[in-house]
Order: sequence, then structure tokens, then C-alpha cells
Amino acid sequence: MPEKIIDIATTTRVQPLLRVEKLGKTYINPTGFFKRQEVIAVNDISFSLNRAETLAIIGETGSGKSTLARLLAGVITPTTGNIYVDGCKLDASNTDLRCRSIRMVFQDPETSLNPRTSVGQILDAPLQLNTDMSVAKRAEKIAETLRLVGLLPEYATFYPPMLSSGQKQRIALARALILNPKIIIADDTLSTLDISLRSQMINLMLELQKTIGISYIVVTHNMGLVKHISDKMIVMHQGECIEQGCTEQLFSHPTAALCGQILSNQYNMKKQRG
Amino acid sequence: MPNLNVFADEHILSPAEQTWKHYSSQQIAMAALWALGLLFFLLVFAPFIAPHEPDLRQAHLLLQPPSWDDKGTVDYFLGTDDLGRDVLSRLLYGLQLTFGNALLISFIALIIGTTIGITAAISHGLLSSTLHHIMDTALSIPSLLLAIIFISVLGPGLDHSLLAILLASIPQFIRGVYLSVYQELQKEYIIALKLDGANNYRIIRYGVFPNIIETLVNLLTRAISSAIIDISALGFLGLGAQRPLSEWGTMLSGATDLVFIAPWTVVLPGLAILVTIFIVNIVGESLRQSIIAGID
Repeated sequence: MPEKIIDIATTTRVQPLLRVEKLGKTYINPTGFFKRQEVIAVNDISFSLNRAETLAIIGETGSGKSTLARLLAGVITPTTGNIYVDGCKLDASNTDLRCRSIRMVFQDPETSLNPRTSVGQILDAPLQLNTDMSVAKRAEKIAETLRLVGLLPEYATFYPPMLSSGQKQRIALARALILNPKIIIADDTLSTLDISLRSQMINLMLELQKTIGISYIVVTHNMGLVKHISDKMIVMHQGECIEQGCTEQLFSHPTAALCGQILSNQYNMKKQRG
Repeated sequence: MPNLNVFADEHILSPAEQTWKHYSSQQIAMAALWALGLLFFLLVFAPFIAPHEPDLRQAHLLLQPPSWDDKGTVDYFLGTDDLGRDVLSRLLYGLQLTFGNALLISFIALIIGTTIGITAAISHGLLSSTLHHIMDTALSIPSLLLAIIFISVLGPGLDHSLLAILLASIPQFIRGVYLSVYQELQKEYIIALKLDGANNYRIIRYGVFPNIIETLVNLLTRAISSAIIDISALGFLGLGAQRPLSEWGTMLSGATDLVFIAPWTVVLPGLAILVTIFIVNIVGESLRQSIIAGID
């Protein structure tokens, strides 16, 4: 990590950018007429994240990491716990604060962009709903954001089916970036891309982190990626956080046995294949 | 004037333009569209085009054959029926009664059905489930049977049959729209729109609506053709439009015993029903395919 980021991080340490306290989600599934089954998807998760830091959430399939990402983005409402951004509590009353500060990039770029609306319209929607910019200013902002993710302003007139999946993923990232958020949540965003596109996207994300100081929360299976980009990590198992801390430390000295297993399994498998 | 556009600046087609581009490249579809245009023209201007009054009985001109027959005259282009009424004029006025009413019913059903369908899809819990299950029950009865039940209560007549067909075709719209809106709402781009802070109206208008047009076209096509069939079937059975009216099904039922003496009185109304349904279906299906072709 470059030194500049660490500087920003240390100066704003007074209050963490994102603080999550005892976040939990329980689903209640009716199994019969009167029987209900409780499924705990995410249980009692607490962590904090500073400016320009990257948090990786890892775990097996079904361990609740995607649910956690969705809870943070506001797709689903938590049953217990609170989320604070800059010390301000997020709940149903201030959805606009959440929209502006936490944005999400979805897993599959093929389904996360509406095929019938142009890229310009897709990027215009968050601006229209969350800012009071004029039409000309919005167009300017769209062009600027498209350049930021390495596309031309002319792409605003294109429709998603005309683009490749790498370009679509850039548009999805542009949609997340356009409101100048503090945190971007990437839910398995990079795993669907091929290797060269993935490294392009990672470089783009790191570049943006360096220049604008965005924090990322990355949900992924790819341990190499975790090691490469994240500062902190959370290891999840069956909805619980079994281990969290600094990435380097966890990779070298995992305390929980299960955590070590997950890390070594997935990381070594990658090594053998590669 | 020479083409001064040196740079091949390609124009990006919007979904509507793309649909039209695909549609206009199909010759049969275009022919059907022109035919549909002609039908609309005849529908609106039938009273001006029709050479005679539809109910004008001429006792000296009974069962006049069509003009291409040796005994036929050009004044009665498609011949006359057993009461000496001009078949061409009756068919043209019948276009309003059969096709016009079918269009009217289908559009009303489209508006009502779409509204209820969308409401059911975005609501949760009891309301959604009630709407859903009531519609399922209503759908399990065939539309013609449902129409006959309505008429047995209300009594026969064109107005009653139209009301019955309207009520019978609304559930199909509700169900179709409900299903496709419900499926759309599960898509990730709708979640993304929600995270942008969009309200329900905006989600439906900009997120869902552009993607369900294909379903709407499909439902409308089917509704129009089944309404034409139902109106003429009820007319034929004597439950819908009554005798002097020149509704196509009623014309058919009045002429069945003339099938060997004057086949044109049976064939022509039948052909009119067939061709109209054919045209509506070709246009509807080609349009649907062109709409899908835009995104694949």
C-alpha cells in the first residue's frame, strides 16, 4: 500500500468512517400452517472501517457473506444491530444518506444493468434522485465519471447489450462512483470477469482509492485478490464472524483453526492451479 | 448533394428504433401492417365507403351473386343476401361491430388489467395473494363459457356480450402482467434502482415498464383475436348481437341455410373473420419478436 493512504487513514482515525455494531439478520420461513422456522443468516457482526481502507469478507458458500454485503448496502433491512457512517446512524429515515455514502456494485454485470435504458439514463438516475443538479451539470458529471472509469463520454448514448461484460462492469462501477460515495461494496464483482479484465478492474479500483480515498468492502472467494488489495478481513462461517483483523496477520497467523483451514485450502488451490 | 459526413458517425439506435428496424426488414410483417392500416381506414371511414345502407332491403334483388359472377352487377360488388341487402356494405359496417368492438374491449382490458396486475405485483402479503388467487380462479373458466354465464344472467344482446367478454379477458391481462412484473422486480437492476433511492412509481416507469412491453403486446394480440372470435361466436349462437345488426357472426348464422344456394353469404363473413384475426396475429407476433430481437 502506498504511504499516502496510510496518512489519510491515520489523520481521520478520530472516528471510523463505517462502524457496524452487532449486525444480524434472521429470516422467518413458514414451514407449515403455524410452524415457523428461523434461519439465522448473519449473526452478531461488529467491525469498523476507516477511510481509504479495504475490507475483505471471505467465507464458504452460504456462510452469509453476501447477506452481510446486502445488509450494509441497504438491500435488506437488518433484524438487529446498527450501522453508523461518520457517526451518523443509518435507518429507514435517512435513506438518502445511505444512497450517497454507501454504493454497491453487483456480482453479474449482465443482470445489473437494465438492457432497455441507455448508459446515460442509468447513470442519470442516482443524480436525479439524490442531487439537485441541472440537466447540463448532470451530463457533465456523467461524462466525467465515464472518463474516470476509463470509458469515453460517448458511451452515455449506448445501451448495455451493445457493450462487453468488462465495459458493463465499468458502467456498474461508474454508477456506484457517480454520487462520490465514501464506501463501495463489491459483491463478488470481480469473479465473473476473466483474468485480464479482472486485473484491469482491480488496478482501476486501487487507482481510485489512491486518488479519491474511497473505502471498499469486497466479498470474494479469491484469496490472492484478498491478499493483494485488502487491509482488513472478516472470515465468516455459518453466519458468524469467526475471525477478523489485519489481512497480513491473518494470513500468516490465523488463530481459529477453521479460519486457517479456509485460507490455506483456497489459497493453496489457487497456487497449485496457477 | 454529396454526403458530407466524412466521419462514419454511427447513430445509436434506441430500443424503439431498433424494433422498427427489425420489424421493417420482414416483408410479411410489413404486408400485414399495411393490411392492418387498411382495416383501420375502413373501420373509421366505413359509413362513407359503404355503397348502400346496411339494412336497406331490396325485394327485387334477392341473392344477387357477386360481381365476378355472370349474373352479378358492380353495384352490388359482393352480391346481396336473402333479404336483398348489400353484402359489402354489411361487411364494412360489421367491421365496426366485430373488429372495432374487439379493439375497444381489448384496450380497456389492457388498461384495467395492467393497473391491477402491477398493483398486485408490487404489493405484499394479503392483497397480493388475494388478487393472485381470485384471478387464478377466474382464469380456470374458459372465457367463452364465462361470457355465456354472464349473458344468461344479463340477457342476450351486443352490449351484454361485450361487457361479458371484457370481464372475461381482464383476468388474462392481470395474470400476464403480474407474472412478468413480478419476475422483473427480482432482477438486480431493479435492486440497483432501489439503492439509487427510487420510489415505486419510478421503478415501475423506468425499470419495469420498458421490459414488459413485449408481454403487453403479446397479451393484447391474443386478447384482440380472442375477442373477435368470442364476439362473433356469441353472435352466431344468437347470444350476442341480434339479427338485423351486421355483426359478422350474426351474418354467418343468418346465412347457414343458404350455404348451397348462395355460398358467398356464408364464405365472405367467415373469410372476413379469418383474415382479420390472421392480420392481427401476424402484426402482433412480428412486433413481439422485433421487440425481443433488440436485446439479444
